[in-house]
Amino acid sequence: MTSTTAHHTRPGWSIVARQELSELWGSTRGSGVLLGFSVLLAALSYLVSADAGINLLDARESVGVIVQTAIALGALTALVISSDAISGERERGTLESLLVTPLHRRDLVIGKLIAATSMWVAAIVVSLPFVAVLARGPGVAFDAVIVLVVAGSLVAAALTAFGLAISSLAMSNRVSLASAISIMLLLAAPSRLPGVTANGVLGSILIKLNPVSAGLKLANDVLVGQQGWSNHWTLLISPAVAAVLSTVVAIQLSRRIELGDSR
Amino acid sequence: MNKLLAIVFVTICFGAVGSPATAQSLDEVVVEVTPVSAQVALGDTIDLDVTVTNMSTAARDDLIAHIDVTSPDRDGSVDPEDWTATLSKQVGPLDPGASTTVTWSIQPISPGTFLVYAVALAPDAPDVAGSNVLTVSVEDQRSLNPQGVLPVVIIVPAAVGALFVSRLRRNRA
Repeated sequence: MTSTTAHHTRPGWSIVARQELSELWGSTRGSGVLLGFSVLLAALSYLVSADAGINLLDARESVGVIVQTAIALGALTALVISSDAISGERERGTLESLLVTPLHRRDLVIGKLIAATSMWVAAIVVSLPFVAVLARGPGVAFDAVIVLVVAGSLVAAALTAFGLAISSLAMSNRVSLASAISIMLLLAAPSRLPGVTANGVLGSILIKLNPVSAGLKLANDVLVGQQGWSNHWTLLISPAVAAVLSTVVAIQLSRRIELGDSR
Repeated sequence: MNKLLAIVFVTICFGAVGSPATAQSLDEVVVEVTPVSAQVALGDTIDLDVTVTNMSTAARDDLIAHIDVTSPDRDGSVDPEDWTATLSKQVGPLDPGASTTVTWSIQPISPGTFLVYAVALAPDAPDVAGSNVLTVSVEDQRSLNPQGVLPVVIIVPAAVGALFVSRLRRNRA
């Protein structure tokens, strides 16, 4: 009885979040994605540290590569989980049972958002040992951890909410995943293209407006370029704005969640 | 009067033809590379001095020092731009008998034996002035635990893998 009372007083989103976290980390889904992430990061860390160990790669550059990869791949893992959140339920035929509960649809989305965000938190935990070991040599451990946690979390929050918004609209899980991953790749591409990263005004504006490339550029400028935070904190604006906007849009779209026909 | 004109004409003609020929040739420019041999481990850098001496009687300010790398053990060429970002440097003005030293820091990127040499060039010169050869022996350098990263590379995926296996077993049970 006591537990029933506690259950009723707990907010709806908290109930959903607890249930989703239990499903994500109690099954092999969360740990499987995290295993892939850790193996990729371990392989890359070994390769860059081997190059940096014989001076073929600057030690700071190796830290920058690992932090940028951790941000991009970590955000991708959270995006994969969130873009499956609603469309996956729809495809598995379990969305109906969720929608008939007394929970608000908004609580459903917030709870699922929290669960998907836990994937990014796990990615940070896995990345920290690699970053700490590689950053020890050039003495940039503090900057590396701050970039990973602050810039990475904003980028991940924006992409996670974005994936959930797409998942609410997409009738099929395949469409949801493909759309979310394609858009993330498109957003990450500009920071990797030499023509765009050149010091041109248009390229600079495009990088700053794009939340993913802005986060990755911040990591590069602070860790590899040895430029202070004071000149580059503006690169955090677009990830922060995107995180807030995506979250608001994902919550607003919860009203439009429909059962649809997943077939 | 005619004799005077003839003398002026001959002086102008010989002067015009003779001067550029001696100015353009690099016969009397000496290029020396030090050290003459180096043994390094892969990833180490070598400080290279290229000394250019002007042995002619005319001053020069058009010389360029250029270095190149080749390997006697390989059929293919070695890309010297992998060793240093700047292959050519201006020597600067050189008075007759003067010399100047241009320095490079080069970094071999693969093990083996390599030959490094320098040349001095000038825009209008028909030849180049070549240097002695620096023989570089690069020893391979491998570490199983570069920068102490190996324990983390093993332990972190192993720990996440253990979590994955435990969830797998629990779900199968």
